Formats: sequence, structure tokens, C-alpha cells
Amino acid sequence: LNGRAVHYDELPAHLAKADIVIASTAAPHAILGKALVESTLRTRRHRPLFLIDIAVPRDIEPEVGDLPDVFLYNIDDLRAVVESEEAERRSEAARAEHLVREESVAFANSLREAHRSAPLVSGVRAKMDAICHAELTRLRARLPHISSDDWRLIETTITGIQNKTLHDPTVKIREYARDGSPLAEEKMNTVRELFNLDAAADEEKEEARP
Amino acid sequence: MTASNVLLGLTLLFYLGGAVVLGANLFLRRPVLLVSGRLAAVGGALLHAGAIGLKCAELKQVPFATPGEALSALAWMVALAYLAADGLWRLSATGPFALGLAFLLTIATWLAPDYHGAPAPALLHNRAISLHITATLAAIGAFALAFCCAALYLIEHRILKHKHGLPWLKRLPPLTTVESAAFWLVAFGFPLLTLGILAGFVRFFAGETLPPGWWSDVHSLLAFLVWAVYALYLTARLAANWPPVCTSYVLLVGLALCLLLFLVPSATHRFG
Repeated sequence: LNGRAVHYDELPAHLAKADIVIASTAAPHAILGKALVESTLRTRRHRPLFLIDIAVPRDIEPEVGDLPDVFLYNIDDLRAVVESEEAERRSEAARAEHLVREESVAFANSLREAHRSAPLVSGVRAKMDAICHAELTRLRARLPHISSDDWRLIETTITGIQNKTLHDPTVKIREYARDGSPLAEEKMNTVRELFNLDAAADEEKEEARP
Repeated sequence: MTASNVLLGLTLLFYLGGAVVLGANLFLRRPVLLVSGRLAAVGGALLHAGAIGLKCAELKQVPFATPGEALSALAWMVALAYLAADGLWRLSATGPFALGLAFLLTIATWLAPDYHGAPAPALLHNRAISLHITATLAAIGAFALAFCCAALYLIEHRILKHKHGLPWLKRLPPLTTVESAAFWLVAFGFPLLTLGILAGFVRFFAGETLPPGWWSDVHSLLAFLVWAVYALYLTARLAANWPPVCTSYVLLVGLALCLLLFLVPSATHRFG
């Protein structure tokens, strides 16, 4: 807060500069009277002055609150403010909870979808990758004179075709995974069958066996 | 229906939509409402500019040839003043009133029998009279926003003093901001009003067509009273060090007198 201690005698001068004054002394009587604040107001040109008195007994005379452009709040007023704010805070917290719940459900769904669709999507892609890779290797052997720049162009084109071809099936597989119904499950099995993924998986297992 | 009337109809919808959405934002405080309200205000002002421009092009005359057209121009000025005030001081809380007023003035324009095509009086071809009307309308637009700020100041001051409805303060701009915005709006509008009155004077002294006794006309006297009220406000604010509560009441009276200017029948100070 960059606070600085000043002598009590300098209070009127500093009061003229302040916008918010928080009074909290252990004085047994009021230290800020109406006459003092009134004299300060003349130099403030009606800039509002907020006085917050959190001392018990009070540091600021209650009559000060009657002055124009002076807003005096004590500990009871602050408690009332906090109570009135509480209801609003509670409703905002309920809204926040609802938002968190909604988002966590959406996140769980997306996780479930990824868990269901990932093996199938990666299987389809792996199969296509393997086919493209094999075909490109064969082509390279038959066209040894092609420059590396041209070869890169061919590879990029083949990859582009592969990605564009697989885009719609990938989207559909994710939709089926999100759906999760028996019919959607059946459709996913059909995709697996169409790409003959089970056989490919068996082959991989066979290869992996020592 | 002409293109300008179609645009004016759309303007009405935008002003009403903006006022309702910004009013709802005061209660619900949702960023989407604030952005939508501001977009509606910008859209309304742009459509209104298009409606006024097309009307001028269709009739080949100034945009305040009839009382109906003058009301339309005033509604546009109010919307522009709101956009300027919101841009400078973030005064979206004044939106429901400012856009609501713009909507009502545009409705009055729509219903005015002389809006849908009346020849401009010969007097309006005079540049001094055009300046007189334009400057006066712009000044009243700024005063309308100053009125909103003054009303907000009084509401906020009351809440803070009586300590009832304090959560509302979070929805409203700071006390010092509304007070200073009201001052700057009047500081902008007052020279325009002075210019408007002076332009009317120039026409009076140079003209031959105005009837004698024009200067003692109720409308003219009321215009001087409006000028005096805003001069009093500036003097009270700058030199006399009046409390902002008092100067805010002066601004409320000021706009009431401005609206009276439109309503008071005048034998000599009229269109045509």
C-alpha cells in the first residue's frame, strides 16, 4: 500500500488529499469530528470522501455522515453490505458450479469418445499408411531417375490424398464413438470389418510373438 | 415505402433492442448483453445516418426541413452522444435511457405527418439558420446525456447516503465519473448552444422575412432560459463550488426546458 506514518497534527492536511479514510484507533472518544471534516471539504471541491470507521468505540462522529459528499460507513454498515452481497455470491457460486459440472461432463464424454474411437481411427490410419508406404517404395524402385524434389512432391500428394480420404471416415467414427449406442457400435464393427483391421491386428500379434 | 423509411424502421428496432439489452445488462451483468447492446447502439446510429442521408438525397434538402425530420436528427444526436460518452467514460448504464429516448424520438419522427415528404421552407436554405438548427440539436443531444449522468449521480449518491441497494453500485459507473462526464458533456454542448443562438441572432439582424417581435417569442425566451440554466451550471460547477447534488438538479431542469422548447407552440419561431 506504500503507507506512510504522519503526525496526528497533520491529519487535516492529509484528510484533504484522501479519497478513502479507514479509522481504527483504540481512542476512547471520537477523533474525527464534523467541524474538522467540514473544514476539509472546502478544499476538496466536493470530491467524494469515504470514511470507514471500524473502531469500537467509534472514531468518527456520526454527524459527519450528514455532510454533503461524505459517505460514512461503520462496522455494522459493512456487515450489512457483506450480508446483502452474500446472497448474490451464493447464486454466482451456484452458476459457477453448474458451469464446472457441464464442462466436466463434456470433458468426460470427449475422453470416452477418444478412448472408444482412438484404436479404430489409428488402425485405419496405420493401414492406409502401410499401403501408401509400400506403394511408394515400389514406385521408387521403378522410377530411380526421379529427382528428390519431384519425389517429395509425389509423397506430399499421396499424403494429401490419404488425409482427405480418411477425413470423413474419421469424423464418422468419432460420431459413432460419441453416440455409444449398440447401432453405433455395430457401425464401428463394420468399419473394422471393411478395413479388415482384426486380421491386421492378428498378424501384428503373430509378428510380435517371439 | 422508400429506402430511407426502411432504414428508419430498422433504426427503431436497433434503438429499442439496444435499450432493452443494456437495461437487462444492468440486472444480469452478462458480457454478452453488454457487447450486444453496444453493437445495437452502433448499428442503430449507422442505420439512422443512412436513413437521414437517403432522405436528404431523395428530397434534395436539409435533414431538418420539417419538425418530424428535426426530431429524427435530434434522436440521431442523442444516439451519437451516447456512443461518445460510452466510448470515453464507459457509461453503458446510461444506454437504456439514451437509446430509449432515441427510440421515442424516432417513433415521434415516424408518426409525424410532415416527415414523409414535405418541401423545405425557403428560410432553411439560409446557412445561418442551418447552423442555428444543427448546433442547437447537437447541444441538446449532449445535454440529454448530461441529464442521464446527473440522474445516475443522484441515484448513486442516494444509495451511498441511505445505504440501501448498495449491490446496485457494482452495476453503475463510479460517482466521480458520472459527475465529470456530465460536466464535459455540458462543456461540449454549451458552446454549440451559444453558437446556435448566435446564428439565429445573425439571421434575425440580417433578415427581412422575420416578423417584428420575434425576439420576445416564447420559444426564443425559453431558448435563452435554457442557455442561462446551462451557464448557471457551468458557473456553479467551475466558480461557485456548488455541491454536485445541486448541479445535478440544474441539469435535470435544463433538459426538461429543452424538451419544452419542442413542445411550446410558437407563432413566429416555426418551420415554414
